[in-house]
Amino acid sequence: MSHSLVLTRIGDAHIAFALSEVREVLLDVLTTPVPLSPSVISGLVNLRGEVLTAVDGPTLLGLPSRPPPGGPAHLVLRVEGQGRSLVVDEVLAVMSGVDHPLRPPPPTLSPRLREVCAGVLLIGDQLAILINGGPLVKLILHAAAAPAEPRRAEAGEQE
Amino acid sequence: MTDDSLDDDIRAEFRAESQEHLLQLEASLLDLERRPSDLGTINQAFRSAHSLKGAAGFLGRADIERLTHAAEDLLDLLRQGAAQIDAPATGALLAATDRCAAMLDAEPLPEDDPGLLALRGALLDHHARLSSPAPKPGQGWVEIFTAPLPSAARAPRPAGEPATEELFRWAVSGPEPAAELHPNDVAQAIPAEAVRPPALGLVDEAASAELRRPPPGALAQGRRERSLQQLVEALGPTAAPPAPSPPPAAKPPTEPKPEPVPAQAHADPTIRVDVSLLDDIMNIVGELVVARNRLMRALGQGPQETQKAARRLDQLTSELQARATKTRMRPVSAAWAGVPRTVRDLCSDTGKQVRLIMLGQETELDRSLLEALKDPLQHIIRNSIDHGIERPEDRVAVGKPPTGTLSLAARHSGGVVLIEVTDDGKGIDPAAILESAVRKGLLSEAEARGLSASEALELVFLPGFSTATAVTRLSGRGVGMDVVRTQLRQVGGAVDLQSVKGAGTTLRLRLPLTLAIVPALVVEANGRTFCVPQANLVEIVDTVRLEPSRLQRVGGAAVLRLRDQLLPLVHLGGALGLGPPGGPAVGAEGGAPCGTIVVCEADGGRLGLIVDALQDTEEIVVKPLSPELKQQGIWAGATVRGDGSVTLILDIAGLGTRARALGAPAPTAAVQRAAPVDPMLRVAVAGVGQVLIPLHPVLRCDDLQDITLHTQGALLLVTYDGDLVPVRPLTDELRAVVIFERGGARFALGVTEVLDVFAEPTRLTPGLGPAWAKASGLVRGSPAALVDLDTIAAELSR
Repeated sequence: MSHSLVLTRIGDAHIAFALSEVREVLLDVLTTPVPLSPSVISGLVNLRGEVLTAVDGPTLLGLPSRPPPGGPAHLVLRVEGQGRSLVVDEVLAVMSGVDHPLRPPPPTLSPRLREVCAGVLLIGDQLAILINGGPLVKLILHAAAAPAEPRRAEAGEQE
Repeated sequence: MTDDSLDDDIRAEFRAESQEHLLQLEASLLDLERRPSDLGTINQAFRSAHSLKGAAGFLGRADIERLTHAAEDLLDLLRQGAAQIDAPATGALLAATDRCAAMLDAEPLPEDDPGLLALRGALLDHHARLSSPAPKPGQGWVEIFTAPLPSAARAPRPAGEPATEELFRWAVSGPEPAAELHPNDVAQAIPAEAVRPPALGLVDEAASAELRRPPPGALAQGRRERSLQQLVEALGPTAAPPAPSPPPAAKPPTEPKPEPVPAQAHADPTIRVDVSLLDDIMNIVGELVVARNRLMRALGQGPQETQKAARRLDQLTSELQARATKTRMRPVSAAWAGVPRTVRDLCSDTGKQVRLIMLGQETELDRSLLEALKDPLQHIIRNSIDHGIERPEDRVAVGKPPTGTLSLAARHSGGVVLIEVTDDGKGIDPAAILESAVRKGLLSEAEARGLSASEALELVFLPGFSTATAVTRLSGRGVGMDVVRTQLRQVGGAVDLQSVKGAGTTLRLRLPLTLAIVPALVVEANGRTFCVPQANLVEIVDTVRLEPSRLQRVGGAAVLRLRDQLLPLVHLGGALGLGPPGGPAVGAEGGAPCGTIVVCEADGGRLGLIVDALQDTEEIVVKPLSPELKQQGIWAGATVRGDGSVTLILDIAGLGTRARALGAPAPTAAVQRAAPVDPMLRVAVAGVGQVLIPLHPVLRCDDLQDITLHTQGALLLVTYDGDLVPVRPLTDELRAVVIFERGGARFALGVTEVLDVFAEPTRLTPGLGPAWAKASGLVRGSPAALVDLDTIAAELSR
């Protein structure tokens, strides 16, 4: 089956999203942190007058983060009507006509990733984890509701 | 009216007699609900109204006379068989009956008393409605254009082109409620070969009549198709005059109308527009407001001409915004339309008798809020009737009239819509609430004892709460007030509850007037900016100008003495975790203050926000936040400012709750979960020790040297605000007085010394201590007693 994908990198992992679930990619955005918000929320982003909630991909998925020198990228998602963007380290490519078969997720995948993973694809010589928007939003809501310590005070910080 | 005793006798007799008539009238009206065509009942109702009117006229009570006259006229109409009574008319008559009952005991009202005019107006409206030859509600309608066709449009159309415009202007009435026909539906339904019948000229005039829309939700698809069918048939190629084919209740167009004037009393020319179009317009207006803000900022320093142009743009934008907002406004009666029926169903199911009063139905609010209001309102009304209002025999047993009263009152107040739902039922017993909460494991017994009555009532809003001993079909498992509060919070509204055991309960709902654009004050705290909605704003206090003595800081809670109230203070930066709590604004024990205090109000409580600086007041476009941020409860939304930055909008109610929990030095998890710790006034009473007084009802504390005490026999009184307030001395060493409010009246306590404000959770044993104390125990290592203000108030009221 043929997929159109957006391929991203978080840490050393390759994460893919269906193109239909991505509205756009933002680089070099101003994120306004929200005081007392859970650590999985990076803050708020202004997209041409619309206010999006920026979710920190590495924190959400439990992956290490290695953003390039230019800073991370925002993937604006088109799920469930609510404006959200997922912060990833880098957007690698937008690919269409990816014909590779979707394989089931390997058992070594972390529980968090497994919740959102629709399958894995072999792209080139690297396995990419395909993530679906629906389960991802559920994970976001879940992670945000968990009674974790609120994020550290970042007084006066607006990156 | 003289003070002659003869007059008194006559008046007393008039009152007694009128009361009987009123009871009879009410009974007849309730009867008529079940059997609307019973002529005997109608006649009886008419006679009662007639007698009332006569008696009122005889004694010169023009106010009662005018009201009963309107009622009499309406009943006369029914009596003649000219119309049949329906739910809205019965409601109006019942409301008038209630009012007359109240008026009997009161001073005569002036002719232009608004409440009286409204009631009378309602009765007249029903009279007009029921007596008009136009089809009645229940026979559905299509709302149509009422402006007559411009003459150019009357030019004959080529055959084959459906005369869509004219079709709009056609009234369809039938025994079944007609669908709300959309222009496209109509156009498609007309067969291509339909020829515009010459009789359409008359149709325009018929179309000019204002016709009413069927109640929403009363329409089914099948009926819709049938109405289209009627329409098509009627306008078919036979060119038959359209009007006679639907039931003759429609305006017969054979009757030439003198001018195309709408038949109904109030006929606004109306137009049907797709709601999504209105939403789009509103969005664009929102963006226009943002752009206007940016421009105003940039042009503020420009040359004279540019500034003039900018001001004009400002003015136009504001006007456009007001108009656009108005297109979305609908009267709250749209949300209340189902209430009379709900109430009647509930009454027949529970065997209770309820009189329903609805005031302020014309109060307008954004149409999206109407939907949000319906569910909570239904729930609240169910609770009132199911759990609040007692059975008639139980009511009589406690000296109440057998019929309970449920009133809905709506009004605008400072940028919000206030809706109060009041019942005169058995109220909510704080003790029962606490017991239930403990039983449900929501809090421990010790915690429950520490809560005040108002804190106990707040528990009702906790999820999974119910005091219903029997799960009824109607209200289900829980009181569900947490759902009500959540639903209202989601649209930016709020609800709070007041109740007096045995007397009744009032629920106050607040809804924003418009969701999209609100005025707000922009403040700075610890280098960040935030918006405070103007709807929550009470006033600003500049701390630089304050005497340090008015600021106190004790036990983690800072307090401001603002005129006669003690206001809890919250450092915004601290509460948001942006910097050290307490901050620079108030030094240790009232040092040199700096910053500004923004006094806010939400959910019935007030607090003062200490901020570093104020920026300005702006009209901001509110953007909703995603659920994971909404659930934090402290943000009402976000906005994009003129410079493109995102600023968060504070939810004052949520902030207050959270800040109170944070203010206590060592909040236990249970306290946070169950209820916030209300601040208390700590005083010294010789012979007792420390005494705690709940701060919220306290109006003022004074030293003896600043006030005057009077004695009146055994009573001790103090002057306050022009009144003489009774004082209950708690000790002989009386050197200070604390004045508080309870149930709308004022009382005072005589104490030895006012110490400070105290906001820590306490462990006091109830029932211990002096007779006037609710509980006693150790506070900070010394004996302390918590005053029961209700006991004191009751004592002083006798």
